[in-house]
Parts: sequence; structure tokens; C-alpha cells
Amino acid sequence: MTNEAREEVVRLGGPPSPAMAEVVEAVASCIQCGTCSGTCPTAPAMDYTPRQVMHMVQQGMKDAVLRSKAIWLCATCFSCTVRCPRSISVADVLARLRGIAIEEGYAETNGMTFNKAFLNIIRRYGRMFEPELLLRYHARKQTWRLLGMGPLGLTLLRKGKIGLLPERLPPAGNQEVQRIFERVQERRKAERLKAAEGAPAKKEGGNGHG
Amino acid sequence: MAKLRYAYYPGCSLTTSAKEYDQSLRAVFERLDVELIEIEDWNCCGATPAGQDELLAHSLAARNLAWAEARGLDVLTPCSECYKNLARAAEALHEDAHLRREVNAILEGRTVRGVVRVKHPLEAIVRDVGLERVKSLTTFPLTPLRVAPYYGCLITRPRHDFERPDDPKALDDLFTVLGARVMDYYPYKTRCCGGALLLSNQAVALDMTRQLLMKAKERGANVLALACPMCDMMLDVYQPQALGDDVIPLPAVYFTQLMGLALGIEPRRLGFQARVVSADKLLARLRVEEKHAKEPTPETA
Repeated sequence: MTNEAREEVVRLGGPPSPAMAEVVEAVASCIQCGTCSGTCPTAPAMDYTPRQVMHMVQQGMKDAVLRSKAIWLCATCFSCTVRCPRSISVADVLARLRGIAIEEGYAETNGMTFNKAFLNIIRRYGRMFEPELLLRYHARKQTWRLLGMGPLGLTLLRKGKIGLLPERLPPAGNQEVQRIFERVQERRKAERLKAAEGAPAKKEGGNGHG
Repeated sequence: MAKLRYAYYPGCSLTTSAKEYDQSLRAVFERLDVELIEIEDWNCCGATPAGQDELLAHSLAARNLAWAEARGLDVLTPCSECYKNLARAAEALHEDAHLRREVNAILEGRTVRGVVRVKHPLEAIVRDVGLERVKSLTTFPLTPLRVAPYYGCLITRPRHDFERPDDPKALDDLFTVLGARVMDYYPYKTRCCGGALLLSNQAVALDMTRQLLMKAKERGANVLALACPMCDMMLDVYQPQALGDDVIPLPAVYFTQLMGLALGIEPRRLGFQARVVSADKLLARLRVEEKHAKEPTPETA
């Protein structure tokens, strides 16, 4: 589906995904005071400030929010969360929006590449392995940047700060971690299917009013 | 008083890029007579990326928490990211029976009851061990140091039952007891270093790091005390990129490394050689070598 088509579905009252419905509910009490934007250290670099993102969610502008750079510029410092007068965890809302953008196949951002590579490695080894994270990340981005990291990589290697082989969990533990990922994924898929089953009827109703 | 014991969750960074945090922490807790029992086959907490799905984040954390719970131990974890994830999961699992059921259905062969507590080493030192005891064990006061304590984000946010999010004091109080001069560079002591954006938005991250280093320098600090491996990645490893060539570097070291010096532990056991921004001048200022030559075993002093 094109982005325009997506937006149209939402505009016509199409169903937000179950995950999106949770986000909409989480920001329902936002009073647009802007404290989140005021405390956010990366807001100046964002296309929409955190307050604007909250407002866009409230207004059902799902597609624009999921395409925004803002959600990927959150440094998860939680300054907004501890100051929100309505006790909304803005940082968690943005994190969930990042997850939805990935689940729904939005265009890949740097942050998305990073998150995918990171979770992939944990899923495989049970623990992080930084050299592979760098390789996977840069392989999808500007591969030439890896050359620039050579000197720094050597320094870190010399100082014992990076290893050449991943630290794997023993097979039983490793399998436990992989099953965690599988089961969570199965759960999310089932939820989406359930929501999709209910969707056509709603959409028809919406068209009737058109 | 019974000996303090914790289930120790080092987290991935402490086995690689932050080895010296692990080394110095273990040495310090040994000196404080606190036992750290490493969680068997612990898995990654999911760091920032797992936060995109709460159920995933809580389940990854819960697998580790279950081990500690089964042994009746509180969890101690030095990485701020791990601390945030494990502590939030512990809290959520304690409060939410529905989540507990969901997570237990996802875990295979392990069960969480939601009774475990998760602590950052700072909390353990200030609350459980007590600063009086730290003071009594301080043999080499850090008098020549002007320390800028850097809390970063996740020790005080989003959970803040142990410290105030705006103006935390634990590190300030600790370094005062250790004999150092504590420099005030509010509000930068809790301002984000940008670590989570290091790969994806590097220019933004480096600018955040530069701002806070410059503020600490401006206020006269001669060392920055750290409590998180991602902050260390920014403030030590990437400091040359953040500051450029024409600014005098500011050593940034783990708070446990400095604390170890004050407790008379040899610098070699504290991993100073692993610093990217050299700490040699700092050690020279403290005349560490000289002291250790004179008094090889501080216990006899």
C-alpha cells in the first residue's frame, strides 16, 4: 500500500492497528502543554517536536507520524517522561511508534537499521556482539564508513575493549532466548490477524457514509 | 550485620567495551566486603531497541530476574541501560498480574513471581553499605581531584525511587566522602550524552557530548566520573571526535575506578590502561605510584 493510500484509509476511519490503538489511548490525556518539547535535548533536530507528535497521534495522523524523523531522533533520555504533568511516558510512546513503523514496513531509517541489527544479534547469540553490529549496520548504510572506523577499531582492540568472537550463551540458554523472540512475534502476528478480520466490516460501514 | 549479597548482572558491555567498569566494580565491592554472585547464563536486556515492544523487553529481562528470584537475591547491575530495563521489568511484574502471566507463558521453564528488587551499584553503596563505612575504608583521599559527577539519564529516569531526577546527589555525596572536590555543572550532570544515537544520528550525538564536556571544563572539573558504559563510549572513546583537536581533553573514568583508588586498590586492578583519553596525568596528580610504593598493603596502614 502506498503512503497516500494508507493515510486515506485512516482518514476514512479505517482501523488503526491494535498496537496503534494502544498508543492513541496512551496519549489521550495529553493537554499539549509542550513540556516534553521543552525538556527534549534533541527536539531542535526533529522534523516534528514531541508535542507535535503527541498531537498528530491524537488527530489520527498515523502515517505522517510513522514516517517522521522525530521518532528516530529520540535518545530515550526520559526527560519528557519524568516531567509530563499528565504522567504520559512520552519516551515509551515514541519507542512504541518506532516498533510499529518497523512492523508495518515503513521506509528504513538509520535508527531502524540499527534496531533491527541489534535485535537480530541478541536473538542469535543471546548477547550483544559489537563488531557484528557495526558490520551489519554499515553494510546496510555507507559501507565506506567502516574504513574510517579502522583506527578507532584498532585502538579498542588493543585496549581489550572489543572481542573478535561473539560471547554465546550455552545452547540451552540460547534456545530459551530465541523462543522468547519467536513467542512474542507469534503473539503480535495473532493480534494483527484478529484485528484484520474485524476490519472489512468497519471499512464498508465507513464507505456507506461517504 | 549479615554479609551483603547480590545477584550480579554485568550486561554485555561489561564483558567487552566496559571491562574496566566490571574489574573496578568487583574490586571495590570486594573491598567493601559485599558478595556479587553472577547470574548464570544471563542474556542481553534488549537495551534500547527492545523498548519498541514492551512484552519483548519485559520477557528478556524476566529470564534474568527469575534466576535471582529463585535464590532470594536482589539484583545489582552497573550499566544504566540494563538497570533501567531490569528495574522497570521488576516493577511492572510486581504490579501487574496479567503481565506476569503473559511473561511466564513466554518464558520456557522459568517463572517470575515479581518479588525481586533491582539496584544500581550507586544505590547499594549509598543505601546498603553506607557512606560512613566507605569513609572509614578510604585510605587515599582524592583531595587533588575536582570531580564532575555525571549521572546520565537512566539512573534517575524514568524510575526515580532512589534518586531525584533533577538534581541527584548520590555521586556528589560519594565523592565528597572520598575527599574530592565536587564540581557543580547543573543541569548537565543529568543531561543526555546522546549515546543511543551514536550510530544512527552521529552528528547530533557528538554535539550533545561536546556540550556537556565543555560545560564540565568551564566549571573547572579535572575529571568526569561516569556510571554507564554508553556514556563512557561517548565521553571517553568518542571524546576526541566530539571535542576536535584544539580543545584540551578531559579524562572521563568510571566512578568505581576513582573509588577504587581512594580505597587503596592498585591502579592496575582498576583498568586505567583501557582509557582512550589518557588518565596518566590524573594518576600522577594523585601520586598513586608513590603511595603504593610506600604502602603496598593499605590494610597495614
